Formats: sequence, structure tokens, C-alpha cells
Amino acid sequence: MKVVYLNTQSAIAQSQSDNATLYHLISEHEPALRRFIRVRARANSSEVEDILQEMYAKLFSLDGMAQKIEARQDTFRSFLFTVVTNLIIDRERRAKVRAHEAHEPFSDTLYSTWSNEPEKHAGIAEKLIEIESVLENINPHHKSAFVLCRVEGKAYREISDILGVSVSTVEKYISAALTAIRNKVQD
Amino acid sequence: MATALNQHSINKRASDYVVRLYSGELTAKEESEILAWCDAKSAHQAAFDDALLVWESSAHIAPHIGWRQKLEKRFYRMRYLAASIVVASFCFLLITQYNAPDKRIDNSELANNYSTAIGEVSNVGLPDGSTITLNTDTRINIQFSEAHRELWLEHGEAFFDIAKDRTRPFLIHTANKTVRVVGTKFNIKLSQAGFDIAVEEGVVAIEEKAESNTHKPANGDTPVLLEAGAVATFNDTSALIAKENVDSVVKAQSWRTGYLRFDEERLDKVIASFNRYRSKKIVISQDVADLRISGVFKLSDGDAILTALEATLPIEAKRDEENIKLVKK
Repeated sequence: MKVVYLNTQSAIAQSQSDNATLYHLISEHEPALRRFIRVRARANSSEVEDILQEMYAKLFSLDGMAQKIEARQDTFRSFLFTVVTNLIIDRERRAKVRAHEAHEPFSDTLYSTWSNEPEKHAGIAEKLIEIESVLENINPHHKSAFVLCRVEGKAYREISDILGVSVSTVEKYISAALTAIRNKVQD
Repeated sequence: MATALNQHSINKRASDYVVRLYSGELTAKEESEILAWCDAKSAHQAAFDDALLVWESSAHIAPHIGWRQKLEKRFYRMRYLAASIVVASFCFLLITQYNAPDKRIDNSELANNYSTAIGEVSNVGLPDGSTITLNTDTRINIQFSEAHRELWLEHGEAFFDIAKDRTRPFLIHTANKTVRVVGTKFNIKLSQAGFDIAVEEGVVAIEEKAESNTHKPANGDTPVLLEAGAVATFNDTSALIAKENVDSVVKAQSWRTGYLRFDEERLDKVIASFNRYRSKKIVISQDVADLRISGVFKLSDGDAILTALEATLPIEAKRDEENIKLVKK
């Protein structure tokens, strides 16, 4: 069968306009992301740009991203922070492999959470159970705030609504739980 | 002792900073405060890194413990309520399904003919959730089996809103081609040489006509894929495909709502469209054929179109026994 296509560019134009929407949605958060990357990764300005580029490349490679984000703008910033955090952790891991550095045992097991090394899974599970047992024994308000934030993925604002306390109190609760875990699990 | 206390306060401050960092609302002042603190002593940076590690790894504790059950119940009462509503509706569905066993048989086994008379537009709802809208003077034949949903468009024009069912593709046969879809919306209008197709949503594949007994596409040509917004004309040996935008594809199917819409269209084309819905045809004289007209006309209004045309164009409708003739005034 002979097939003649007329003006078939319009499909590409559609995906370009999707990308423009996505770019617009992300760029709104760029100042906050830059600050986050500077503090989280101690990155200089060219590393910050690299990480942002990687983030854009990652998000543009996912299908239907623009539509999904438009539907969930309220949690979009924390989603971007998660994506960037994972990119930074990947970079750190690659840097460590290159440098052949000796690992501190605690960091070693926890970093491996993101890799698929079966022999290390038992160690991670143990560490996570340790975190659990610490949480069982701390102030229940601190525990609730921490679990809602880190396990349920809720924003501080939402947790403040659920627990009926101010956002700054939520931050104090979460910080106290974090310190408690840090003090017990470290060694 | 003094060192332990000191370490404890370092850890506490590192935690505070990590919590601020992940608030997403770090200020410029806080940023320089944190960076300065980390730079001041290597123990500070180490404490900060450890706090980050605990923070980021704790996102992974979900699979290991049943936090949802352990959290205070009051936060989750709403969820239980929502869940019970879902369960209740599901039971209701099961009961209604159980009470209507005939429908379930229909869903897998169905064979039927549907047709419309001249001037009639009609909707056919199928048991799989698909809807077919038949335009004027159209005839279809439908056969459903466990493995396939098949339809023969024998005459006329139809709009297909096909429900998604990946395990049971929907095949639409015309005289020489087969249109294969999973779940989409599109329009097919048969013509003398083949058919016109316009895709409103999803993707459709046009193949050489499938052998009915094998359900496999005929060998040779690869199928032609059309996406949403595509408008194409197929005949026996060739295809002409244009990309329109989805809006104009939707507008072109205004007949489904019982209206015809024209935008600066030639009068002879407009009349040809109307004649498809009329048993008493309108004839047009050549000297008025290229007059232009825009507007929305109701299909069921009979001769109201003639009144509208006479009012807006320099023409006159002459009626006799057999037909209606439009001539220059």
C-alpha cells in the first residue's frame, strides 16, 4: 500500500509544548533546588549546574511527566528534592568507587540500600530494625512526626495539620527523633 | 563527659539543620549559617553527613515494619471509612452482576446487527463498555467472542468510542481494510473507493483485511499507525494521511450531537452533507454552488435549513413533487 504523509510535524510540536510546560513548572523551583544542592552536596556552582542538568534530563525522559506534575503541584517540590537527592547519592557513590576510599561501616551499609547487592541486604535490614526499635522507645509525638515525614512522605505543613501543632514544632519533633536515632544507631 | 555532652549538642544542631534543609524553604541566611558551621570543624561536617545519612536511609524503612497499623488510629479513621465505602460498592457490583447473569454471557458472546434509516443518528452501547454512534443510513454487524471483539462496517459512517481491553483487541472490518484498536475514539466514514478515518484519542492500526478465521493481519504490508489528531483517506491501494489538531477532528464529528457545523464551507458541500440525512433531496444549480456559508444547523429540523439559507444568501428554494431546487434569486 502506498502511504502519503502530509504535515506530520504536529506530533513533535505536541511533545515540545509538553516539554515547555514541564520546564516552566520545574524552573519555578530552581532557586530552592540550587540552595538545596549547595548545602546537601557542598557543590560548587558548576557542579550545581551539572546536577540540575541531570535532573532535567531525568524528568524529560519520563513519559507524561508534565500532566502528572500539573495534577500534583502541592507535593512537586518534595518530589524534586527526592529526585535530586538520589542523583547526588549516585554521584557520591561513583566518586567513592573511583577514589577507592575505605568506607566507614555505618555509611557503607546504609548507602548500599540503593544498590542491589544481595549479600548486604541482611545488614541493611538489621540497621533498619535498629532504627525501628529506637523509634519505639522515644516520645510518641516525635515518632509520629518522623514516621509521617520519612515513611509516609508528608510535608511539614500536612503533619502540622494532622498532629494539630505548629510547623516549627513539627520540625522540632522530627529533629529530636533524628538525633535520637543518630545517637543510638551510630557505632 | 564534657566531650559526650559536646558531641550531643553537635548532633542536635546537625539534625536541626537537616530538617531545615529538607523543608524546601531554606533562606539565604540559613544557608550561609549551615555552610559556615560545617566549615568551622570537621566534626561538624561529619555530624551533618551522618544526620543526612539517617534521614535519607529512613525513607526505606517502610517495607520492614508495619507503621501504618502502629500509628495512632485517629489519623486513619477517615481512611477506614473510605475503604469501607469502596468495599461496599464492590459488594454491590458483585451482587448486581450476580443478579444479571445474562449480561455476563453477552459480554463474551454477542452477535448482532444494527442499522439506521436516512436522517437517523443512533447510539449502540456494547456490553464491554464501548459505544458506537451510527450516522444516517448506516449498517453494522457485531460479533464478540472470548478472544476478539469484531465489527463489520457494511455501510455508512460511525464514531467508535472503544473501551480498553488489552486482552481482547477490537477489529473493525471494511471492504478491504481492517482497523485494529485496543481503546480509542475515532470516526470512520465509508466512501465509494474506501473510507475516511479521523482519530480523536489513542492510536489505531490499519491493516490489509484480516482473514476472519485466523484473526492475524494479512501478510505483506506493515500496518499504518494513526495517532490522535490524524485524518486519513484509504482506498484499495493507497493512503493519504494528514495531521490535524484534535480540536478540528472533534469539530468534524459534530453530527454525533445532532448538529452539523460549517465554517466558510461551499454551499454545494453543505447541501451534500444535508442530503445524507434527507429522503427528499435538495438539488443545487451550478451558479450558486460556490457561495460560502458558516453556521450550526440542527439535523432534525427538516426544512429549517432552507429558511436559513434563503434568509442569508441570495437564493430561493423551489419545491416540486420530487425534490427541492436552490436557484439564484
